[in-house]
Amino acid sequence: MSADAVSDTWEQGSPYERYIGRWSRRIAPGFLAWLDAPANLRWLDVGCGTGALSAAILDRCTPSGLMGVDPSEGFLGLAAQHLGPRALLRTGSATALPLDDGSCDMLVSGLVLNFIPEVSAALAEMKRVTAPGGAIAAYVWDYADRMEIIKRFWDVAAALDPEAARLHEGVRFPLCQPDALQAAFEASGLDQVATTPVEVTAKFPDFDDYWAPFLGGQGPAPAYLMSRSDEQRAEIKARLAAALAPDAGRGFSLAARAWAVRGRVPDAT
Amino acid sequence: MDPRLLEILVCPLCKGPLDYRKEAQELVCKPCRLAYPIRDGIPVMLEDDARALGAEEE
Repeated sequence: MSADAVSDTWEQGSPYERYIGRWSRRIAPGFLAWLDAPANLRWLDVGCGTGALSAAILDRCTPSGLMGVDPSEGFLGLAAQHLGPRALLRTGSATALPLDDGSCDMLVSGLVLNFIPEVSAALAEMKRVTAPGGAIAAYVWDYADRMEIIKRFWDVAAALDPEAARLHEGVRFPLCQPDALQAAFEASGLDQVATTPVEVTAKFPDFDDYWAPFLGGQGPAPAYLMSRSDEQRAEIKARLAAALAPDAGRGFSLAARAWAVRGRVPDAT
Repeated sequence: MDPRLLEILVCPLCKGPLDYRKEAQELVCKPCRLAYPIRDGIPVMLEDDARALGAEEE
């Protein structure tokens, strides 16, 4: 099949798609290139959501099998439409995976780890279902620094409202740093743990292309924005526009960076 | 339902094997006495969504 046959089916966008989906989908290929996995592995995508990472796996990695697990039936319904019969999907939790021991060779999880309350329990489950010698790999947004699409919003919001600083994902998710990811993977008993940045450039033709998705209310920053009064919203918009697009007629670019981590499941002893 | 599915699918609680009940579209874990529904072809392997087996059910 052609390289983009699966992933192109997302082009029409929900608010989430316009907000984050369009950038997260572009991170997936860089992450998979870093993993550089051989063909014919059994892949498992934990927290597969609507299937953006799974689509990239089908496009690029020639898996012998692909399973996706997510707690949301709604997301999985969309994933089933996008991915078709090549992916086996089931509703499930990362901390109680409904899969047999050693049932995959390559376990991946995209932009999910920081949302799991018990990361060590999830990593223990991931290790259980991954075969000895297999790998576990994940990536999360660099909320604290170079996920600028979100960070720049919070910088402006926090300058106006001290409460907003508390909601900034960079503060809420200390796991989203290379040292913390490395430590979490090593603590779960994985070998050869490594991290790397994966970054794409988000180009916005005008300020509205950046701003409109925040009005969709999906995600912490948009939800915060929609909880403000019309006046407060207008103030945030004016300050952001001045900071990001001082020349109204021209586009601008922001970084969207994720931290990726990988580790190897030790051989059985 | 894809026959490959049951090969690796286990109860998320006890990690034991499941019985496929075609008519009911359920996956049953006898030790846990839970029936996991299959909705729109996707097994829902969450404890909160599972049906407790009745006392007389096998």
